[in-house]
Amino acid sequence: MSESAPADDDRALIERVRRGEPECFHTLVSRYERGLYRTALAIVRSPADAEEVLQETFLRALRHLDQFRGDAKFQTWLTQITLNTARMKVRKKHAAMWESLDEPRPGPDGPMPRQVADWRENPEQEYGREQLSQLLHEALAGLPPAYRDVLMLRDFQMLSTQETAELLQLSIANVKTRLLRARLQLRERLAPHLARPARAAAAPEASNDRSGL
Amino acid sequence: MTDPVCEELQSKLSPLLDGELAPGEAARLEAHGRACAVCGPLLRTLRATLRLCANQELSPLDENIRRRLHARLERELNPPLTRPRARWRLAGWRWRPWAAASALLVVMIFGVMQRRSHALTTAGWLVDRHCLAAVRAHPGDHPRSCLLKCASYGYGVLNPQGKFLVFDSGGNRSAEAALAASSQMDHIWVAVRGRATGDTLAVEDLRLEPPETSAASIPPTLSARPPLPRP
Repeated sequence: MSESAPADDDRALIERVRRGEPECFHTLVSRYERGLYRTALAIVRSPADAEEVLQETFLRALRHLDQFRGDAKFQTWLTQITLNTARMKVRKKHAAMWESLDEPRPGPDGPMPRQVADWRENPEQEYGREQLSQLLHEALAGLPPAYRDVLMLRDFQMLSTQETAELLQLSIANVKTRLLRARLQLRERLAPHLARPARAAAAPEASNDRSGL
Repeated sequence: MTDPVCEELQSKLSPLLDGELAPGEAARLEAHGRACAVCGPLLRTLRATLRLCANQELSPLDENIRRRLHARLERELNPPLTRPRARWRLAGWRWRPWAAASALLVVMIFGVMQRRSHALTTAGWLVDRHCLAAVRAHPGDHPRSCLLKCASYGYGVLNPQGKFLVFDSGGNRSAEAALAASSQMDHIWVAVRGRATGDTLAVEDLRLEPPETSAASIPPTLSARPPLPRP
């Protein structure tokens, strides 16, 4: 989503807001509201809380717009506010259940699976958008926070590895490691819903083997 | 998985998925993926996962959430003229000194009112709060047995001018004890002395009067100290 909104265009809109054209702020909000809502939802896990985080993010951004110096992309700045606001909300709400941001211990998921079942050809056609959204939300919610945050920024918000590393204060190598593990774990969590039934899965693989693929 | 190419592909999964490998290397690993029963499904399902993420990102934000967000921002950007522009600062600390001053003022007023209680000696019909409305017209007919049954509601004194003063807890205990000790069936007249605050009387002394004296009227409020007035 961010790639379609050039950073230069964002800066021009911000300048117009500063010069007294407040309606331009709505245009900026429309560009990033979806991604930031999804990021907030992945952290706070409640649609109502995510909506509050979203509103609070843009209100803070508006009130501190003068402090945005343009060193980073506007989207990155907004994402930082979203992460801080969402984490603060989680901390306030579930002080005793505060999630550790430390590196999760590699679990039995291991880095690599040895047996991988293929998925249905086109899950988007078999599931409605709402159903898929729910499946993804549940799968994301089950990821360790350290993996989830990297995945959200890289594969949902489409931020670069460098931007993700700066936002989460991680090394590039750490971002890459976490991203791979996050992707593998997300795939594992989606697999029970999207894997082909055993018989149906066997036939195409056999045909693939025969065709030499 | 003993094939070294499997290990190579899986060590370069993210760069391969993100298109960060050199074209020749990517093509070689993709070719292996198409032939391998483990790497093939792994690549395909990971790509499907990333596609789902990307598609989710393209799905629109719920229209209600969007409407509320922009309405909230609009209020911030263009506050009504009747509201000061810095209204949002109310969320900060600026209101707190005013709130503290208001609370202090309320406490002081309450304290002054508390101190405005005054000594009072009066007499009238003994009535419980539960039956007050029902017996107000003929309080003399209210039987002692009913008064005793309604002890938990609390008592008060209904003077001849129709003003009802509620007893404090000590007064209620005194009234109940006096009723229990009395043999009078009805026309329960009481003389009390205490300190009145508003409609409440902190009873210091209470006694039931004989029925023959209760018919006469007495001044509703007497500033005189004991002995208690006799009708």
